[in-house]
Amino acid sequence: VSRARRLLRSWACAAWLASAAAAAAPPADAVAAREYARVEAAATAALTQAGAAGFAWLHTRELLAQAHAEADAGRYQQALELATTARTQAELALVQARAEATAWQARVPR
Amino acid sequence: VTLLAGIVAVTAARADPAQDLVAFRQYFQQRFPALVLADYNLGASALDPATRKQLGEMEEFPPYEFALEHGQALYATPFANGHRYAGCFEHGGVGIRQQYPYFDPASGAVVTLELDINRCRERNGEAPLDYLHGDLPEISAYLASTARGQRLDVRIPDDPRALAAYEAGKQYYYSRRGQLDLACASCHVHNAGRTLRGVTVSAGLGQATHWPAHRLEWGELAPLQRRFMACNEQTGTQPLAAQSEEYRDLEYFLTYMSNGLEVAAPSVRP
Repeated sequence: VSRARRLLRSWACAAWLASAAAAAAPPADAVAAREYARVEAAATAALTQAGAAGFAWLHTRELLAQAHAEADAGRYQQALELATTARTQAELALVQARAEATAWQARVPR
Repeated sequence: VTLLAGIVAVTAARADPAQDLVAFRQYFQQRFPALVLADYNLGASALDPATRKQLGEMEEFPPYEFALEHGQALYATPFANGHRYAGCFEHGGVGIRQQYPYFDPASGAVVTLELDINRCRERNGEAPLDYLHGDLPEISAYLASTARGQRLDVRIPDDPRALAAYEAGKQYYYSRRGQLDLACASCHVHNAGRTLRGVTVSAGLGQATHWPAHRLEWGELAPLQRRFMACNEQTGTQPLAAQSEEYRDLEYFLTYMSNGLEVAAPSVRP
């Protein structure tokens, strides 16, 4: 009996710990929302820089707008995916702008 | 900020625009020895006999004819204050297109014909017109038509700001950008005459002589800067605003590269 009680007690303890941990962890949506906010801010900053340099890509702004719409609708996972693509595009545009600051000269007929 | 400063700075030894022009012409003359300089006014059709014949026939009854007449009528219509466009331009605007764009020392910037038309309107208390569609390209086309046959004579005065504007336009022309990583020059210099999705790519030489043009794709007269925007979109680049400083500098460089060729605007293009 005492062994059964000990088992029951440890099971109850484990179950309590599991439920407490689950309650403490943020829901998946909250994680995605935080991550989306971080990625969206990075994408916006990179796009602003690329645009100022005249190197923004055609669809980056549109991707960000779609990401905003998804986030407004509470679909943070989709918003995160779109913002990540936008960030990649904007960062590649900046890489391109840096490279072209001098690379263009090699293309001028002499 | 450091990045932008690095991008804006033109670090290379600055070529003399006159030397650039000679090298640009020589490049195309070596590449297309069968063409004479005047052929470059025809754009891509200079390099494609079938299109040349087709567009040549269209010029007999050009699709821009009514728009051109409308542009002429608009140009002659007095503003509400009784003044006219002609009062804003040298020689009443007749035969001046070949000098555009020019560097304006007062503003320290490049001025295109379309910009000057809107400036004229604003000086006379009128609202500016849309740069890309409708009345303004038609007025611009009318003014260009009065300069047909005049040789382009874009000048870069002895002013470091003018040379900087020219260099900025040149840098824009040769810089790869957009998702396809293409410069204007990638198509119109290094691949001119080749076929891209069934379309012959025009040469950079002569590209600025025949605008505003009636593009069959657009179905109306449109200025050169609308073509810049379309090219940007085709390469996956976010277009700039019409008459932005960057586009005006680009137009300055590109038109200078056609100096000596005759004004052939308006025109028909595929």
